[in-house]
Amino acid sequence: MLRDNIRLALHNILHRRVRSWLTILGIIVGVAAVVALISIGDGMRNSVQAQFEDIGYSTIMLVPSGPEDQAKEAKAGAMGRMFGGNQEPTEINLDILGRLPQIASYGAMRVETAMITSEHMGGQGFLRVIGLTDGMTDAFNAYFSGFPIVQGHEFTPEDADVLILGNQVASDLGVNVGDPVQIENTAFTVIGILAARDTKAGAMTFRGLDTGLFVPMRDLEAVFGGENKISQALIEISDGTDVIVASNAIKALYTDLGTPVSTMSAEEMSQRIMGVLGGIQRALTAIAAIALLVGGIGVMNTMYTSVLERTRDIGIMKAVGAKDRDVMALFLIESGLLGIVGGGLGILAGVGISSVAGGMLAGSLVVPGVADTTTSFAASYSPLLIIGTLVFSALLGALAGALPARRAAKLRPVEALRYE
Amino acid sequence: MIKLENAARTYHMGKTDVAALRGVDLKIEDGELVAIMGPSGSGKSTLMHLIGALDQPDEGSMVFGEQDVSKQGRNQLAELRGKHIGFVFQSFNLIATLTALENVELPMMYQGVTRKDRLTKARNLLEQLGVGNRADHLPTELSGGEQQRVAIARALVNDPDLLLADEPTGNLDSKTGKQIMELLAKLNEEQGMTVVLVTHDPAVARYAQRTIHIFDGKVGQAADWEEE
Repeated sequence: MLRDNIRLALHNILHRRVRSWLTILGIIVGVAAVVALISIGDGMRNSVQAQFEDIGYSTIMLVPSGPEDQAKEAKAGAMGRMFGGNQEPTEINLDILGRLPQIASYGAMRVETAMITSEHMGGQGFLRVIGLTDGMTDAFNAYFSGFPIVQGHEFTPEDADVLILGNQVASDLGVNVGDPVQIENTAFTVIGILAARDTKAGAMTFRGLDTGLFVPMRDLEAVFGGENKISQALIEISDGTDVIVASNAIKALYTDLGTPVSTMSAEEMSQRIMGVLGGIQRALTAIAAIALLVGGIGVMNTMYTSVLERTRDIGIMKAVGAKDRDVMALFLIESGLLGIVGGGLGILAGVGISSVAGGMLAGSLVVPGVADTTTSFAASYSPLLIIGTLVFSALLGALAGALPARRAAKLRPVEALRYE
Repeated sequence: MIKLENAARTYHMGKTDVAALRGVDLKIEDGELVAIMGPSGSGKSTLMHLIGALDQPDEGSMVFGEQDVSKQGRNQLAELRGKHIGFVFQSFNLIATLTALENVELPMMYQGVTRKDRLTKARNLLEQLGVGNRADHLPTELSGGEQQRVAIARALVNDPDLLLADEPTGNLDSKTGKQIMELLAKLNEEQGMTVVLVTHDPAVARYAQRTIHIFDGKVGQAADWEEE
């Protein structure tokens, strides 16, 4: 019976070809808009997520915030400094981190601007020198984009007054491994040169890699004086620890010590950005849903017209034994089919639109201050979206057809047969 | 057997009530060929609707076989019509978008007959009624006589107990009308089919073994209105 009703319904739809297509077009527009916006939105979120995943969700960044500016400390400012901006080195008790059970490992960096003298440069200039605690580039390898050394070798604990140069600064200074470089008044030896930073290494990675002069923390302390002064720290929390809980514990700890800090984790950041993106996506989708609603009203209109036109046919069907539910089913299937066809074609149109639009948007869909502009973007089509949309459009069609179908089913055979 | 006892049917047209039937008693035995005659407005259409289980009496009873139609719900009426009654209308009432074959298939669809069986039976019937070669044509491509033959095939396809024909020759020329009437008479004669003809045409009523006259919503004598 269902198969027969589907056959009859298809027959009726095809019989009114132009009107059916126009009705379907209404659904197509709505579905296409919804699919395009959801898939672009999902793609944006995936892209943001991917950018944050570079550093990992178990890493917390810590930046000391001076007591005086603690009140006005905005997260955005802290965020900028964490990725290679300048933060006045501040003394904090780093060792205490080792005592928190939630923390697996940590490392710190101190950024100073120093007078650099190089024979090859033939003079002097101010450049950024970055002091790193032992093993930091290994422990937080991702943050340093792998710290890829192309010439020379990594720091070893035995080294003193040694220097690893970023690719750009090495070529600017024209120095090679083994060359001497003077930082302030201390002579250092170049032991390694880094590869240029991968332009695709976006997201949450250290951006001063190409222009930095990296030295062991103790050497930097020897030059500039002051122990335990850091610009920022990276903290790896232990397995099974909640990032937010750990962040809060760390902040509370340093507030008690009188040296408040700001923390930021990939999780916090991505949550915040995802929240905003999700809100925008929901708002846009709601607007697109209005188009879908109008499409549904179009189906209803078509079905009402169809019931009116076929009043006599309904009477005939009833005279030859059709029950109310047979008539109801026929019209529901008809409107449901309009919905499904519109939904299917709408999905195709939506996928088309979002892949074209996605290509155009790719360059601009990056998290400001976090990712490089080269981060790839592609609209995302989850099976749930596709299947959900198909089911929804069939339901929308059937729902829009429900009232007309009910009217058809309730027609009295005598009156329907008499209808001219 | 069809039995109406004191059956009344009143239509509510806006604020006025129109009594279409007022206390009709009649009985039609199985295997009869009966004509119901009356002028327009006499209530014969209403009577036909009651006999065909398309409508129910407000008062009195209408029994079809064993079932009291006046007490049944919409679905039961639909079932009764589908299984036991075949309709032939003046204006044929074929569904315009379906072919002759599909029109004949339709009543079987509502009885859950498989498609294969439906096609076989529909083709056979069309063949028997002399329109087998028109099976795949739309109603608009058929002559009036052909359409009425298709309609009769549709009426017979579920092996009904009653064939109810409402002015079956009304839209046909006299020669074709005669052929259709002979066909209906033959069905009655050879297969023992109960046939009820609703008509105002004495030429049609002549085929009946018995004529029931209806006038002003009541069963009466032919003289009641022929003298008017």
